[in-house]
Amino acid sequence: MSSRTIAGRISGKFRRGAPLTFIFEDNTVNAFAGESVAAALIASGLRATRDSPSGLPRGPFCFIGSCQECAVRINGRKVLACKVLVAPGLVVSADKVQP
Amino acid sequence: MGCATALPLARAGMKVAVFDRRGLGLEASGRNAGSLSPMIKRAEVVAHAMRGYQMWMSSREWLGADIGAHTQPGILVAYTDAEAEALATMVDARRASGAPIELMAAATAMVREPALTSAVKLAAWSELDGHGESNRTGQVFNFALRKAGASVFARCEVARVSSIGAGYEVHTAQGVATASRIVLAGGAWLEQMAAWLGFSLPVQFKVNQMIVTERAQPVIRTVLGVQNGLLTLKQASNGTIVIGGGWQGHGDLVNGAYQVEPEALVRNLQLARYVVPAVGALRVARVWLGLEALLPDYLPALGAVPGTTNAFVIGCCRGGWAIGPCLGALLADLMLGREPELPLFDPGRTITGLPFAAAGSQAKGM
Repeated sequence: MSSRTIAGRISGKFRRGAPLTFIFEDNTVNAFAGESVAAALIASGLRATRDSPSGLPRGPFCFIGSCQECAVRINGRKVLACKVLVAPGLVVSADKVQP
Repeated sequence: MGCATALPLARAGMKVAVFDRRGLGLEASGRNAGSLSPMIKRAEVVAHAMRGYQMWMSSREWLGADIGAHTQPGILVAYTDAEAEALATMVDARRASGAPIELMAAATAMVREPALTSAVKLAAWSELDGHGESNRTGQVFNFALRKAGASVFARCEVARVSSIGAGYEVHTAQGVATASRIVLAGGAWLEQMAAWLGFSLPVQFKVNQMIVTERAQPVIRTVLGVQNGLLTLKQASNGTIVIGGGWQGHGDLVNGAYQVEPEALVRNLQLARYVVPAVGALRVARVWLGLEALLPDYLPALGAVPGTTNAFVIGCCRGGWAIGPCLGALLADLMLGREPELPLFDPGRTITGLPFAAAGSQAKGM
């Protein structure tokens, strides 16, 4: 497992929620309460959240629940990473094309 | 169907105008599930359905645009003894009317279509099946009609027609047109339209609900139906899966098909998951509905309006999208003084009703 930093976020006078970690595939991702899974993944440089039906990588695009590109699996359900908030210990899987 | 009539008329040199309350192909013609299944049509229209199938498959040649029709084998499955018996009877009748369909043992069917994993009792198989992108119907006809020299008036509702001399006046929202011949092709609204000419056509309609999923890897290779008529399912070439089965939403002739019925949606999806479990992994992308016009005997109205001269009607047929191009060509033949190659369906016939599946009920007459 690799550990991801909090790089990619704006700095300065910004009040963040409590720091936490969650799991995405083989990564332990650092995030802050109040962030969406999609935002936390992007901030950690993890851009590919699913495969298209033709097997090409796809990731968050619109961040407002419209484009459907950031679909991931949480507890076996296909959900949009931009519409789920991070939580300590949350386990997120990429929505991969079945081999 | 009106467009499919107008196009050969325009090409034969008639001066043709098409009036549409909204736009071409925006009602049932563009809202159906795009099935091209000759095998499940009533015996009387099997020949017409096979002609329609060939026409959609060759749309580029006669329509000048590709409707996206693809051949896929069709499969009908039965899960109960009663369904199996009904399926065997249906296959006998369809074979007698020339449909290329055969009964298939359940084990064979589940090998031929591996997406089926729940216990099938009996199946029917047809190589002559497929589907097309019916939502493009209006677009391709609009292009073809204009190219053929026809005038297309969209968002131009016809309020009524009245006979004047040997012809007709067509009263529209934008003025009055005169015509020597008229064709009524208003789908679910045909009863109202026929009444303009004093003719009573007992049109009924269903408010069919359809579902399309997100894109998926190849899940199913056949156009699938369950014998009881409660499920149709196929995968389009873009990977989306179109699910139907005559489940009823809400609609009327004033508002059109206006509201999805959630319970019908859920039951349709539950049945889809039972028959093709792989569907359960997919999300629903969109749900839509349309008004399907029917006569009580489930056969088309195709021919001259009784008691009139030079007024014709076309419509009201199960699987109308699949059969429509054929019916339009036949009506055009009649109007051009040619002998239609297949039988028409006299709108003035004595229409004896089969048990009609009222809106809200799920019984289907296959």
